This record gives sequence, structure tokens and C-alpha cells, in this order.
Amino acid sequence: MESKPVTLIVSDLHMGDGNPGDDFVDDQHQFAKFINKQAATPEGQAGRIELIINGDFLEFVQVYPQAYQLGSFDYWCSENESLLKLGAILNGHVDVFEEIKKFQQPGNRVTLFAGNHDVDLYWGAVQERIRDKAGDVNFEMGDVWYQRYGRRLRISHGHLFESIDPANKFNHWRDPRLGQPNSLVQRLEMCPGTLFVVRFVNFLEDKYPFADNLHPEMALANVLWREDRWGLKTIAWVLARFAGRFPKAFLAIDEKADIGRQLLDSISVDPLFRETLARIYRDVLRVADMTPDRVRIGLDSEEAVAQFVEQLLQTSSHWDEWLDALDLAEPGISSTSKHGRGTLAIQAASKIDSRAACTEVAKSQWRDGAQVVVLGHTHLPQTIAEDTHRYYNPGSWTRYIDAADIESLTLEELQRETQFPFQLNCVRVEDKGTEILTSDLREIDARRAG
Amino acid sequence: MLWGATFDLVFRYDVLPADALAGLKGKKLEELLGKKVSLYINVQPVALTLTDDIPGRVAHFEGGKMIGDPPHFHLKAPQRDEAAAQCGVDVTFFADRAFLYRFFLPIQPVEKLDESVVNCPKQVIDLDLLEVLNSEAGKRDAVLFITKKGGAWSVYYYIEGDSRPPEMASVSPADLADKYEKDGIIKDVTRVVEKAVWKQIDSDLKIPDTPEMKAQLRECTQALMRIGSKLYLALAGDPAFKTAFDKIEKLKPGSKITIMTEGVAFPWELFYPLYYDNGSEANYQPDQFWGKRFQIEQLLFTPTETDKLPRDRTQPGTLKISMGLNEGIDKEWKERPILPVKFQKDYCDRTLSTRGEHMETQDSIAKILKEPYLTSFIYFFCHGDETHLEFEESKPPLEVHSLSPDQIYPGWPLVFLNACSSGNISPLSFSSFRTRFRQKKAAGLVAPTFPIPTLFAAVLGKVVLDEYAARRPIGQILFDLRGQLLEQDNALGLLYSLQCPLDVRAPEQ
Repeated sequence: MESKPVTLIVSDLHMGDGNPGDDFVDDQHQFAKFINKQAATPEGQAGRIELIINGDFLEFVQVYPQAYQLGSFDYWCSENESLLKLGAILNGHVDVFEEIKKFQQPGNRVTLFAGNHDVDLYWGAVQERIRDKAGDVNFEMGDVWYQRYGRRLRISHGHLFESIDPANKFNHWRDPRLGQPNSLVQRLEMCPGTLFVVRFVNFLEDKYPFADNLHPEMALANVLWREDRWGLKTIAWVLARFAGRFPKAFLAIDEKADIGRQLLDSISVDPLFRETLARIYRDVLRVADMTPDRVRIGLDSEEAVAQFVEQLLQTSSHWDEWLDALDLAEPGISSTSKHGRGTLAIQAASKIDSRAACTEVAKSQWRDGAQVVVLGHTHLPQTIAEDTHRYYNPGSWTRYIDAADIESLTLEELQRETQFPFQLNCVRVEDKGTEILTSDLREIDARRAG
Repeated sequence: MLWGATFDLVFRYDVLPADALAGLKGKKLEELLGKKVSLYINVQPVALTLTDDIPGRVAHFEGGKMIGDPPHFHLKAPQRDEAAAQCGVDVTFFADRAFLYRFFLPIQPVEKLDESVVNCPKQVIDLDLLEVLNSEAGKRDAVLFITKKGGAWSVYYYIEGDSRPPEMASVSPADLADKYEKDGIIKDVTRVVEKAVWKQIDSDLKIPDTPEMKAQLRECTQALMRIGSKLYLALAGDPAFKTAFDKIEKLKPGSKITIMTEGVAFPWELFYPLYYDNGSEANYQPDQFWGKRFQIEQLLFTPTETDKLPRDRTQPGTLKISMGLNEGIDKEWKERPILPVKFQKDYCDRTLSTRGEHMETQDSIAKILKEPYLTSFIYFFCHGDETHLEFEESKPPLEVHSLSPDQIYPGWPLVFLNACSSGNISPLSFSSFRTRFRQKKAAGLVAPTFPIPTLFAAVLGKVVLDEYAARRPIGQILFDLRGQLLEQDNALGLLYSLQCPLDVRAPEQ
């Protein structure tokens, strides 16, 4: 692909359906205005700009969740399901697609790379539909690195590097459209990170809108675990159990927090707990004929109990009606601090220093001849300069929390999404005909923390 | 004596010489004539050194006279440049191995000996010799001394006529604290006390007799047996402890053991002498827990001027039980049949009536800690750890520092800290509270050595108070309770330790 003299790179817009819960910061139509403004620059008017959206432009994972009902550990959306989700996004941000279309008219180019939240861009019908709305958008799929200016500029979303995030690795990134056994319908590959969001995070978002902004996703389990309430620790345990199925994806997950054993013990010997769970089955899960005895028979393993809690999460956002029930299993010991009751080792997984990991990935590209390296995915803006080498991460167009603050984050804070900062950036790279590319990170709009 | 000099401290029983440092009050008792009596004297030097490392010696009396050589303790004074704020010996008398009297004897080295030294006032030892004669009731079968020397422990004992000079243990306090952590002892105990079965305890400390409950109880006893075995072997692997333990193992069931320490509180009751690691049924013998076999008291070398126990260990005055309760604990029990705090309050109101009082505000409870509060039994049911007690969530917890050491308790009260520690459990648990309560002249402490299930603690607390009000000695109460509970496969009684004379009992009125 021929390079334009100016390349603008943005990443991780996570554009949803425009409804509450859409994480894309668009209260002032910032992205549409940004494109419009770039089109009005002399380079823009001359058609000398390429705008690259470096993955996770469109939030397929969270938008219109009803479209994906399979609940598979292996397969994500079919082409039709992805189209349903795309429809919701296109309708939610008409202005953005119109500006993209206009931007391309003088000869500027818009290129989309896929990320872990928009692997759906691999579908031909999805690309076609986007072109209907946004003009002749260029799709580049299947590579880990994309390059411009004779490989001096290298761009990757970043989710495929285990050192940055082991939870969102794809085994078939070259082409994740997979055939299924006993079915003619192709589906996209599912990665553990997406599965976690689909099974848990999406159900938490109504009550805790910022829950989906945590990176890595499993940091959510720690937030729940730190809460001084047994029922919430139980949810953390369910999350940790899930993570335990993907030890490589979520690293050092310790699901041995004894929560499951405690729940089973309580079901076994505590009639009040059994009676209360039977009532929850009847009232929340609509199992009309549930009795305490059937609770004892049905919930006879940690797996069964975890499934029950997951069902509750997915069925009722009125947590209080069932958290009280789970609280009954809290060990009856008095202590000055319940936080002292051990910590989940999943902290280890949320403690990846993704900034440092990105820097290392960039440096390896520098050593291989790159001048400018751009990554995304972490949502953490970053600029590193060494001699003539540059590494940038423009961050995201969503609100974010700095990795250092995640350890003290509370569930209550997750309810107040608008209090978190955002920093909408783009990386600008220009080839002025000299040996060295000119580049910088530009802030489009921001709201600081506090 | 002179700085740096070696000298003998001699305990004689005859006419008081002019250069004596201290003298017994009173006169020779006629009752001593015709009787054989032994007095064990333990000396803990402060800034001095025992040149032969022998801190315990026995004085024998027969026919009203001390027979044999009077006990000599070979000491060395510090060099002048090693002078400490306090210099002397902490002396403890035991009769029939029962603690009798303790006092501090200052010995101040000088540059040169002169008349003024010889004529300095003598310390009066207020020891009632009748106590020596009538000590049969308070007889102990073994006294084990564990003192710190540098970073290590020095161990010696006095067991049924056999005493042994101190040996340095290779296992140190730091090793044991490390073992608690690394060997997962606290974690394992926490798993036991977190079991759901403990919420099913009724007001008589009974648990419904169902197969599920029985299975959980058995699992708990097995887990505690395993922990007790680990702890026992950790110490018994050391030759210094092993010699003493071998002696203790030969004691008859029901024997009374004193353990004198400078502050460390071990869960001795939980000690289990057989190797047990789940599954070895032959070694599953709950009767072998030390707490089932022995009455154990852990006493402190208290940093008070003198320590004289009331006759027959009976508290003075009239019985008054003062309860400090954290009402917030009941919140988590609101749907259950027994509210732990209300249960205890009701007991106080209905049964103790005018003999009891309960307080729920931190300010009123603080008075018990700060003032020379007149009471026989201080009972706290609250959240807590080794340095804090929490009675109201909205207020900062009471600290060890809240206990004003100069405001002496007039009623020699027993203190029951029925608080649950929260992961800060160590061999030093509650040691700071224990020391400070002793400085205020409390008789000592009953306290858990590990976290305790709330409901169990509440019901056990009520049972202990009830038995105590009936004037049963505290050691016997706990010993019997441990036994009764173990018969129901409930081993939680082993998690309480007695850190006061085990024959302390309520006032006669």
C-alpha cells in the first residue's frame, strides 16, 4: 500500500450504539469533529492524509448482546450476528461515518485494522456494509504488524503479544473465520478476554458502567474481592474460577480462595442458607418448584454453585435481592478487618506492567529497523523517545483508569463512570522526504482525573 | 558489690544479718516445726549475669529449719560502662511448684564498699509462710520456664522433684513465628473456624446430630490435630524442649502445669504429641491433646514491683462481672436464631442481674481500661487483634496504650478477651494486653490463641461466666469444658489459653 505523506493513527475508540453504556467518548462529537478538522487542513484538502484506526474501533463485543446467543467457549459471532451488531453501531454514530466518507473525498485514505473487540471486521459483509456508510474504507486484516514508509513506521493493535495481554490472544489471527463441527455456518474465533466480557462484564455494566473499562479485564475480580461483603467475594470467586480455565490467558489465578468450599459447607449444614437459596431460585431464576432439599441435591459441587451464581448475575441486575442470600454463607468469625482474609492471587494477573511490556515490544521493532512504532490496546497513552526512535500509544477514546490506581478501585467508583478521565489522542507521522520520520502524539480533547 | 564483681546471692533462713538485702516479714511459724517443706526459688537477673546459668534452686525445710546448704545464686555485676537503668534480680517463689510470690530485688553495684551500703534499708518480703504450708490445694505438677536470651529461648523446668538447668533451644521465637506463617498454621486454623457448622451451635454449645454436621466436626478435629501435631513436633524436635516434653508426657491426666514466660503465649492446649497427618486413624486420639490431659496456666514474669496472690486465689470483695460488648457483631446474625451479643446481654440481665453489668459504648468501656475499676471479671466480646479492641465501628479501636498502668485494679480481676484476632495471630497474640493488664494488677487473661467462630465464642463466654459465678476455679472450668466439647468432637475449646493462675476463683460473696 502506497504511503500518504501524513499518517494519523488513533486506536481503541470502542464505538458502541450511542446509548448509555457506550464507552466511546462522544459527548461533544469529538471524533467526527476531529476528522472534519483534519479534512480541512492543507494536507487534508490535498488528499495527502491516511487515517489509520488501529483496532477496537467498533465495539462488537458489548453492543447489542442479544445478537450473540451461542455462549460458546470456542466460537464468537457468525457473519449475520456481526451484521446485527454493526447495524446498532452504524445507527448510533451516523455523524462519524459521514465524516469518514467526506474525509476520503479529496483522496485521503481511511484504513481499519482489527482488534480483539472488532475481529468481526474480517467478515466480507461487514466490510461491505461499512463501505456503504463510510465510503471506500481500506481494510487490512490478518497481520500482527502493519507497516508504512518502507517499514519505518510499524503499527500493531497489541493484543496478540502475550507479554502485554495474555487474555486476548487469537490462534487464527491470519483468518479467524472458522468452520464449526456439524454446521455450515462459519463463526469467528473466540478469545478468553472476549468470553469473559460476554459472560460477566456485559451483565455488570448496567449497575457498574465503568466495569468494562478495566484493563486487564480480570482486574474486575480484584475489585469485587476487595469489597467487604461476602456475596461480592463470591462473584469474584466465580470470575476467578472462570479465569482458572485459561491459566495462560489470565496468568497466576488462584481460585483457591475457599469460597466454594465455604458455600458447599453451608449448603450441607445450614438449613437457613438452603431455604434462602431455594427462595432465590424461585423468585429470581423462576424455578417454581425449588425446595431446600433440591438445593442440597442440585448444588453439590463447586462447579454447580459457580454456575448458579453466574445464572444470577446474568438474570438479575438487582443484586441486593440475591447478594443477601449469598452473604449468609459468610464465615461466622469476628475480625477487625475482613480485608485481611487473604487476597486473591489474581492480583498477579492484573499487575502486568503493560506500559513496560509495550516499550519492550517497540524496542524489538526498533532493533529490526523501525523508526516509529505505534501500539494500542492498553488504553494507556504513552510516548517513548530514544535517539531517532519513537514509540507511541495514543490510548483510547474511552474513559480510563491508570493501572496504578486499579488496586485501590472500589465497586462504588465503578458506578460513577463520568468521573474517570479521558484523553483523546492521535499519533501524527509525517514523511518530509528526509531519512527520519517526523512524529508526535497530539491531544484532541481531555478531561483530567479529579 | 562492686561493678564487675562476682558474688553469691544467698537465701538463708535464720537471724537477719546486718548486710542482708531483704528480709521476710513476720516470725517463724510453729507449724513449720515437724514438717518437710520445699521452696523452689527462681531468679531472673536484670542487668546481672548468672555465672553458672542456673536460675532455679530448691530450699528444703524440716523441723523448722532449713536443711542442707542455703540456695546460692552465682551472679556477676555489670561493668560500670554496662550500667542499666535497673539492676537486680526478679525472684519468684514456688511451693509445690505453685506460684507463690514474686518480687524484684534491686542490687546496685558501687565503686567501693562502705558503711552506707551495709546500712541501706532492707526490702521487706511480704510472704505469708502459711501459704507455703497450705499450698497443697494449689499444687502444680510441672513448671516449665521459657525465657528469652538474645534471639533464642532458654528452657528449663521443675517437674515433680526433678529440676534441670537451662538449655538453649535451637528453635527461636522468630523460627516459630515463621512456622506459623510458612507452615500455613494460621491459614489452616482459619479454615477450621470458618466452617459453616459453627453457626449451628445452640445455647448449650451443642450441634445438631446429623451426618453432615458430624462429618464437618470430625474434619475440624482432624485439622486441629494436624496443626497440634505440627506445633508439638516443631518444639519437640529441639533437644531443650524435648527433655521437658518427655517429662510432661509422663504426667498423669488432669495434671496441672505452669508455664512461665516473658510474654510469649503458645497454644499449649492444642499441642498434640502424636504424629498426625489426616488419615492415620491409629494416631487419631483426641484424648492426647494437651488441653484434654492437662490444666495449663501461662504466667508472666511481670514487670511489677511485687506480685502476691490472694490467699486461696480467691478474689476479694463481692462478685461483679463487667461486660464490654460490641453490638455491631449482631448485624450479621439478624436472620438467625441466636444473636451472639444479645444472647450474652440477656444472660447478664436475667441471670447475673445485680452481679453483672454490660456496656456497649466505647467511652464507657474505656473507663474499665483507664480507671482503677472495681470489678472481679472483665469480659470483652468484640473484634480485636493483638493491639486493638473494637467496640464501635464508628470509633477508633481501643489500644493497649488505653490501659493506664498506674491505675491499679483493686479487685484482682480476671480478664476474658473473647475477641477474635484477624490474621495477626502469632505466638505473641494478646501479649501486649496481657502484660498491661498484669501491670494494672489484674489476675491475668483468658484469651483465644487463634480466630474463634463468633457464635461459639458467645455461647462459651456465657458458660464460662456462669461457672465462674458459681465459684469454680477458672482452670477447672476451661479444662472441663474442653473435655466436654471434645466428647462431642468439638475441638474449639483448645483454642483458648489461660494466662493466669488456674485456681483463681470468684469472691466468696
